[in-house]
Amino acid sequence: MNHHLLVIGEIHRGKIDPTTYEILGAAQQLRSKGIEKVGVFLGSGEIKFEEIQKPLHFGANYIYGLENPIFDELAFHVSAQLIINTIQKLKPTIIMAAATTQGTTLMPYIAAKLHTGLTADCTGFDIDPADGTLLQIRPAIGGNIMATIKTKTYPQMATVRPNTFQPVHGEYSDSMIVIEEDHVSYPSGFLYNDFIEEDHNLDIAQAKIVCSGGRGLKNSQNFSLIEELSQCLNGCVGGSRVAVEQGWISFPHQVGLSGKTISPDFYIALGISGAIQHLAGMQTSRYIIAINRDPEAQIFQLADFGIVGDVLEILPQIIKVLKQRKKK
Amino acid sequence: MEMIVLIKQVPEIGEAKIDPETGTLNRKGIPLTINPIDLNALELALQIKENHSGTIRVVTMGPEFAEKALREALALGCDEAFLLTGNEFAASDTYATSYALAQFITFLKPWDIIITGEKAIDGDTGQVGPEVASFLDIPILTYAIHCQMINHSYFLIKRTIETGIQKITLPPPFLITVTKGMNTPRFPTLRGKVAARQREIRKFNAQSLHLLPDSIGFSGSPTRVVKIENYKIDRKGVILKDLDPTLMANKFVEFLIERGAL
Repeated sequence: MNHHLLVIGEIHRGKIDPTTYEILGAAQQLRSKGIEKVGVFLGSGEIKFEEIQKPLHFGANYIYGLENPIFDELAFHVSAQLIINTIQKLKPTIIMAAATTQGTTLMPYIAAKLHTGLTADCTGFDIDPADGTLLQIRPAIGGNIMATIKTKTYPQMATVRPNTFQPVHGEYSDSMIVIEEDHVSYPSGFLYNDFIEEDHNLDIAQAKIVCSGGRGLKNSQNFSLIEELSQCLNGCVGGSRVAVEQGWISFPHQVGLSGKTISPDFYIALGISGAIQHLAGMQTSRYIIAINRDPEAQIFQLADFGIVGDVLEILPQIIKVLKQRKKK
Repeated sequence: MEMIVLIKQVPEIGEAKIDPETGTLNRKGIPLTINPIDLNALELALQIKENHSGTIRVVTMGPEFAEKALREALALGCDEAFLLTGNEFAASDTYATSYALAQFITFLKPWDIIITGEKAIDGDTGQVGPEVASFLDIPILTYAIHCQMINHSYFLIKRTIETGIQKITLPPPFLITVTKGMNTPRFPTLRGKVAARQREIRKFNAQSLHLLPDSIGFSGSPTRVVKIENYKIDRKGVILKDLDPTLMANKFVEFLIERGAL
């Protein structure tokens, strides 16, 4: 099977999102197994050539840019239709997008309209040597279980967990860029009022280092130690369900099944015992580091490095060491 | 405001533990409950009803015992409860689930808005909401953290995305998926619980909805789980214990430096 993979790329304020390059990295790994052509779809109100040609250096054969102001708005049902029009024109056999707030909204809307399956939040891919179909691998809830999923309809669609794949440099001599316009009418009554940008500390899903605090911090004053550590490491602050419910940190920072599922390079769990619902939200992190008083805490089953001890005693020491190191 | 709330019954995994031998979830004896984020969806509907009047119809698809989840929703103050049930629906993936729900919701017309949780904590896909909206061909807004009815023709919605919060106003019809941060779900009153026991749960199967067997359940599902494997977490964990806190703090920082965090 010679596959044609279309990546539904993301572009925000004129800049391509890192996740687009990550998916291209995943695609590169499958090149020798039957992925022949890889394209990137980019929809935006304003398409700038110098930005949208960038994926051509990361293994894309072609870029399909579609200029339409609707992509900068919140009418997903309309932007989904524009993407569907493009899919029907390009006829890819596989479609991937990042499991971001945008990707997880558009992809299911598109998949249902195309009457095909969609696999959520994948962390691995392969091609079945027997029949050439895409194997989509994702962690299942409940500890260390991986599920492999196949789609019997075409196109085979998947969303990809951010921070899971590395971009890979690669160029193809026959690469090309197409920029088109498509006209749709704006849905009546829709009004995109405002965007309130929050500090960058909010985006735990795309952070390389996440410092997360839980019950062991005891109160909101102690929780500020997490923020201090995070600053020392240029990381983002996360929290367990308890930390959010106690109001020590706001909901968008919650890691776990009822919050966000993340996969940073370093996940530092402080005073978090590791309930299933928390572990499911961070178990695919590259390195897991934990400090907890209870030597039996489940978090240690997943930890690469752990300290059994009182987080309130050890954390200030760590911050001190890091600050001294910075001074030097 | 005519509202439909979609809920799912899930195992209470907050209570579950991983079996250290097998590394898998020990499901034995875990009670079933309404998906926690669906409680936020119900709460939103109840608040709209209280502040502006309206009706709430709650819908789920599942086995017979999912009736319990619907009764909990009735106890909170929902007006009517509907259960899509039958073996024909078993082993549905998100596509087949959404198709069946959308067909049923069409059957329930007229309605203004559909509310559901951002995802179910057992499947963790978050796909059913947007897929239902797609089948119904209505606008979708996901990850809502605030939803306010301005007047009968407009809603103000705030949604959380990676970098901040977006604000939008739009008219019904639409489907909205809510996050846990939106509100604090109420508990049922004793009187509500007692009253809910007497209420009728209206049950429908595939036949009564004229759904073709090939379009639902396992045969209507385009995706297949072909393999489930336990992977060994190959974390050669170094766990420090009973050492001087300063020493452990230094080891902690060393670990970060060696792996390139600093």
